[in-house]
Amino acid sequence: MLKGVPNMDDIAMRLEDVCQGRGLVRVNLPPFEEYSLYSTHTGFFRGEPLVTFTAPSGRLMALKPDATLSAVRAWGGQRGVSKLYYTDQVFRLDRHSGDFAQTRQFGVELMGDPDPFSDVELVDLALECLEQLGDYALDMAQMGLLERMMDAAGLTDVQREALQGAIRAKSEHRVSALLTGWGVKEGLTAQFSGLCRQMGPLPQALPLLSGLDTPGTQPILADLTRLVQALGDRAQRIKLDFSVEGDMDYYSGLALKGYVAGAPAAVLTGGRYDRLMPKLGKRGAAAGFAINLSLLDDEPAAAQRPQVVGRYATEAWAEALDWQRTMRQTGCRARLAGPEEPTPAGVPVVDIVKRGGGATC
Amino acid sequence: MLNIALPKGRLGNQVAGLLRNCGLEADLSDLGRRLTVEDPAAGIRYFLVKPWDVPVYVESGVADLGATGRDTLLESRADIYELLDLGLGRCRMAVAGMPNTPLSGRLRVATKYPVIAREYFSARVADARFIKLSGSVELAPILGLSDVIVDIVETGATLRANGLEVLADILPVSARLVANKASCKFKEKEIEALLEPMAQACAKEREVVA
Repeated sequence: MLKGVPNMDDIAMRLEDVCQGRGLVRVNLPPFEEYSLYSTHTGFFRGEPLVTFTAPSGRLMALKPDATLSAVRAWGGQRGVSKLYYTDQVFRLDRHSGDFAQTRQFGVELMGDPDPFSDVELVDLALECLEQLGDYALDMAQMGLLERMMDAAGLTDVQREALQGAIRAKSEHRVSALLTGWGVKEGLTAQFSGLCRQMGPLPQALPLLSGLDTPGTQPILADLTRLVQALGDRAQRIKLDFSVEGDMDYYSGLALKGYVAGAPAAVLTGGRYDRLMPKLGKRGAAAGFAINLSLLDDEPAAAQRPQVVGRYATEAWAEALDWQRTMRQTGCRARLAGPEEPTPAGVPVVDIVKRGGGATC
Repeated sequence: MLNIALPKGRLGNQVAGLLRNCGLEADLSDLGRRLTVEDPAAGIRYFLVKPWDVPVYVESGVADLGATGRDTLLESRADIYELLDLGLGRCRMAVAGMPNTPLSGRLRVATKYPVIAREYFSARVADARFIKLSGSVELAPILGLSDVIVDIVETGATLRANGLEVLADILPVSARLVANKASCKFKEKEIEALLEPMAQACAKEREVVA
């Protein structure tokens, strides 16, 4: 658990409060889906194995590896923009252990009529959610911009994937070597290499891109400028960073990654994923993000230790319960232990023999 | 404090030399059995780990930075930044086997690098099967365990001594400076302060080699 953040349940409640305060509607998603929902979108899951089982009807099912596909599939296609949030469990392969792992995820989805304000609302919401988690950093990329530049360079699908991998790794030397090897013009190669560098806060980074002369990039830059204006001072908390991973089969505009001090990897991932909608037979546009709550709760043992133990005398049960209630009211984690029961090492022990016990912590 | 994971052995010593060229007290020569060494003045702690484990330490955030070969990095598929080509330990990943072995049809491939080998052969050979080995890979085609091997080749002397030759190059390999993504957000200044002199030291090293 991160410093200053009590536990995963409290974090989820804080995030839900943020969403409820903005009028988002909670959705409950099913724990499993038909396997075909994921097998037909292998670009999104990159062939990851899923936890599958056969339903009594003979249909092959899978425990959800991600909530977004379920949210889009279940969306009714209402007019306007549907603003939804969820707290859910997902099941994916943990690359390090080689086994499946259950992850708790909080997410936001904005789906419906295309509305440029959705990007502003999504980013503002991402910032407010990250604020609930402690010291944070929010990185942003614009996949459309990258795509226009790749169009101008005339790259094939295979080349695009290789180049995106190098940009994702901030590997300026690899970007340069790839583009030079493919015979891309020097000027464009330099522009791609520049995307690997730290660009700083969004308001200061945007002018660095104003010189891009690739067709189609100027309207995207104008949208980003409007985003900065709408967010005001809060835009300073966003860094333009093209290493933000965004599968181009999935993300079509903004892509976001949020980090919280103490967590070893990005806790927030999201962006605009309009391309998924027609693939699932839905109209309109969509954007959203997910926060991996499990990443915020990787030191549960220490945080869950009691701060004080009350050892109750034989049959002093009423006094024991009174003492614990008093301790809890002061915000203290207080555990009760019987007369002979071993107690955790290093935790102070208070004998409860009479009302009050005299303990504080 | 910046935590840096270095690979034990020759590459680790070469990287330590590069760090010393940047003015850091990175003396890893006489550690005995110790696996960590601190430079309090520079605010850096070095860990010595198995080369294969460097990406694991960096991805998990235990190490903010690390130095590892491109072969190990690609094989690990770690989600980390690859900030700098250190230019050390240059060699190549290649397919090798008995002279004139055809790289087609049904092929048994022995390797320490099944991820890289699978990616290379998936687009080239209809039916490639992979055998994961931990070392002495050159033995596999000699004893009939495999038709070819995928391994790193520096001078080719071991291949020649065993009657094998390079049949195809896969990719060039050298040491890379890698970084944890979250560390780059919260220790940005410390990492940037180290990156610039390291890039310069690498460039200088290349000039000497050239």
